[in-house]
Amino acid sequence: MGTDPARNPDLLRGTVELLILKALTHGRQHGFGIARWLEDVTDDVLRLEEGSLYPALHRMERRGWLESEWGVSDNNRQVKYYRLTRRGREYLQRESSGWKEFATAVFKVLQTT
Amino acid sequence: MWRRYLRFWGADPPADIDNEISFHLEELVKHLSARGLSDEEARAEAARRFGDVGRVRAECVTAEERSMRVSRRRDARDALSQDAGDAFRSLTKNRAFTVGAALILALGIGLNTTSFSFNKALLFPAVPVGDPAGLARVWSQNMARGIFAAPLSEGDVADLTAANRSLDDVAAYRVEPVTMTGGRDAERILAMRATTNLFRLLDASPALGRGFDAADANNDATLVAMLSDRAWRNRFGADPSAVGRDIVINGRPHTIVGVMPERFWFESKDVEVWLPRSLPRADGAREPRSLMAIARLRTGSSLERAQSDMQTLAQRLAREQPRTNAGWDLYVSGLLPFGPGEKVFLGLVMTLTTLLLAAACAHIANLLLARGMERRGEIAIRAALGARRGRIVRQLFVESIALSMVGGACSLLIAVPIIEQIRLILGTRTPYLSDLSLDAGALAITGGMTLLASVLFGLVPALRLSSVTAGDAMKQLSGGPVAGRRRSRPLASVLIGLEVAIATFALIITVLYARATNNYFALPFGFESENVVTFRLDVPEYKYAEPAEAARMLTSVHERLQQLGTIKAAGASTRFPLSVGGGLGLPTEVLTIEDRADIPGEQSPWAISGVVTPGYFETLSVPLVRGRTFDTRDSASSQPVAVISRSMARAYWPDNESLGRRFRLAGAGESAPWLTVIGVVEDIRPFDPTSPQVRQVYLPFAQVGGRALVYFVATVDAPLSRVQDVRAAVRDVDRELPVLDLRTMSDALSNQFSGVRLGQVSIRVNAVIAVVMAISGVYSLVAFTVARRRREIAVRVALGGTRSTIVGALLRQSLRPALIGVALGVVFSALVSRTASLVLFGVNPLDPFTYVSTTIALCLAAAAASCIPVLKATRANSVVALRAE
Repeated sequence: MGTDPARNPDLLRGTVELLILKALTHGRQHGFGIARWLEDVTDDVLRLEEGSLYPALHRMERRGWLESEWGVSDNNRQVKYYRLTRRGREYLQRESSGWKEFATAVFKVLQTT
Repeated sequence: MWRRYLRFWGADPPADIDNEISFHLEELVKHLSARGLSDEEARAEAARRFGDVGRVRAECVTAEERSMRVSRRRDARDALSQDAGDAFRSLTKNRAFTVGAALILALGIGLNTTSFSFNKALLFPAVPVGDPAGLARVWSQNMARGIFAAPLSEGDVADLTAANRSLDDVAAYRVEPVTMTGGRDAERILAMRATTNLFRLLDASPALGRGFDAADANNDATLVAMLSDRAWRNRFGADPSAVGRDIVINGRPHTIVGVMPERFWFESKDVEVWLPRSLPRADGAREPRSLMAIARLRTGSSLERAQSDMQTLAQRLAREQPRTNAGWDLYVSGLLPFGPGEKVFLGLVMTLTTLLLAAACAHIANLLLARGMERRGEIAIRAALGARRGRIVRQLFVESIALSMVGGACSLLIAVPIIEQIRLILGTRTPYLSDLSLDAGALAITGGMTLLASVLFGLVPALRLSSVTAGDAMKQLSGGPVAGRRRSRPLASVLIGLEVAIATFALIITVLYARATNNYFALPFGFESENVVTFRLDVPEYKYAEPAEAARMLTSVHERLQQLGTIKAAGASTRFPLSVGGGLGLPTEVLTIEDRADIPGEQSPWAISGVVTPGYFETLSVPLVRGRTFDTRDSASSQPVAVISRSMARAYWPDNESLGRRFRLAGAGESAPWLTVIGVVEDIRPFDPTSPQVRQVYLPFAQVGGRALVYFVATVDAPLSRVQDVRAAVRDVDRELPVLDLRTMSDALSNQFSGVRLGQVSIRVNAVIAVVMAISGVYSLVAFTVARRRREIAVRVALGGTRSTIVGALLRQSLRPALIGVALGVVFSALVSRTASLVLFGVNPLDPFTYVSTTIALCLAAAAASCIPVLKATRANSVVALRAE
């Protein structure tokens, strides 16, 4: 829901969630920080709508992968920080190994042609 | 961690979400600027990168809702008491809304109940007679002379009894003062001398004894009388054996044959005795016109049909009796003879108050709609939390009812005192209003209508919203783009347009009427009312049987007054200088002018006559134009003389040549002496300034005589301080003679004009309320629209939309219904005001000044009302705005 229906929503959603979890492994971060990290590490290739981060964050918080707290930003504004929970960390590990296997499989198929 | 939970319970999740989003957007713009983009580009790029703010927000809110639903599902509680409690809490929580809505309801219901009660009392007078709607009065009318409704002559009554097709029965009567002896003391009382069919026609029968028989009016029959309940109680101690006993009226014994029931009255509540009179005869006199006529409409007939029959008859009479009847019409009215102006005025006030009720309903509807929109979130959350739809509908229903009840109760606080005031002011002048009270039916109708409106519109949000999902509702909360949602609240816009149209109409009518009444009161009365005391003396026949004696007595009171050292001048007249509207009761006389052929009919010279003493013109400071006024030289034995008004002089003689000219009152007959004009005085304005009744002739009391006079005493200082002197002067002449209606001239005049002023006040009150409601309606519509979009506006501002374009777009959109309303109001006013020209006393019904100024004023007010919230929203710090919800 909510993302561009032209893409595969499930795949993308899963991806966005994994990327968020990965971003948060370096410590607590706010939505804007997550977006900048994603921009940096993906060299701007993913180009996802930054707004779509937020429904994902809220969803993930509800599932217990993340928890949030209010803090103060560098320029002294109230902002909501997210951090990984233990469950989120476990999920990331489980899923990222799954992703690697999936990616390897796809890569192999593509190579064989 | 703690903080999160504190926020969870305390604040609302949507605000947190807005906070996150706005932080992100701001940082993104900064980030992009740092990369070398211009401000403009950075904003555009940030908006593109972020995606649809509204959608993101809605999704987040939905996510939050779901989690709340999971964690806090409440048991459904069903008791009505809880609904009532909720309604109470909800109403007290939003105090501004509750007070505003209850006030509007109270005003709408209260004023309308008042107006309907008043109009009902006038249009369907509650008189103690059978089927009052089937009664019709017939009047003489002579518009050329400004006489709208006058009594009839004996001959005319006989003709209309014989010749009518639409009237079943016609009774004639006259109210006159008589002297009654034989109870305890001799007294001056009011009697009604009526044809014997009157009681049958009114469908009223006596409580005791019998009514009149046709035979009672025969010349050789024993004289009989019927008593009012009051007379029976006061004079006979409610003794049933009074029937059959004698009372002496004007010196002749009359046998009491019956007593009317307590609640019966007709024409005046002061009538104490009824006397029979013979039926008018066709060979009876055609002048003077002094008989009142009342008729029962034939079944299936109507006032209109009777009127057209009477017109035919009047034309026939004008041909057959040109000397007395040419120029005279017959006019048929209901029980209350409204003048054309009064009819128009009542219609106008009725239209205004009815429209006000419509506006009040529209306003309430709007308030409730706006509130419903405001509460979408709340309702959505309730629905999401598991409240069934019926439950929400019920809660809103209870809220609307509670609101209406409060409004209805408050309306009584408005209506009851106003009605009481009207009764006090007007009840003394028309007996039909002396029992004026709040009409339960009117209250039920107006209360019911507002209740219906508030319930109907109170439920709209429930019906609209409780069927959609919480997510949808939440999404709607975020609103769309400014320009693309022109028809966001079509119903509200229609209501606002309606309110503004009504306000425009009310304001235009008020300004027109205010200009008219200003004109009315600005015209000089033609006499001075400051520091003047007035009172009336009515000399009883039993004490002063000879007319000459009575006149001598009245003259000596006048002389006594003139001797008082404390006064400036004193004079008396047979009537008050201004008479009550519609040409009722002013004695007009046809004149024969010397050296001029008698022109019968319409063109014949005429004037309003009055009899005055020396000093009358001086006391009231009526300027003398030429010649002299009356003095002691004019006596019963000297040459008969007259003073005339300037208008009369101008109408019948060449300029400056009226002095010394002679004329005669045609009614006095051929043998009457010529009256010589000795003076010309300034006109005294009639009650209706457009009436031609400024042609006035004054005759000297010394040469005419009379039994009653109205005295005027001009004092040097405060008039009331001389009241004792005045009473003493009368006492010196006759210790027992009662001084009637003693008051200052200013009081008397303000009483005279109380009707006009009441009209002025009622129209103004209506207009003020209509305008206040319309402007606050425009304000709330705009404020609400803007509030709904505040976040979006803030984002637009943040993303570089210039303020002026945003303000322009918002204003265009919100002012549109108001401007359409103004236009409709102007058109409606133009249509209605034409029909009201009769009460506008010479003000052009399409007076450009009024139309232009009110239109501009309303447009400006609407624009100001719209600007405030729009400017607030666009000026607000985008962060604050984004957090506001």
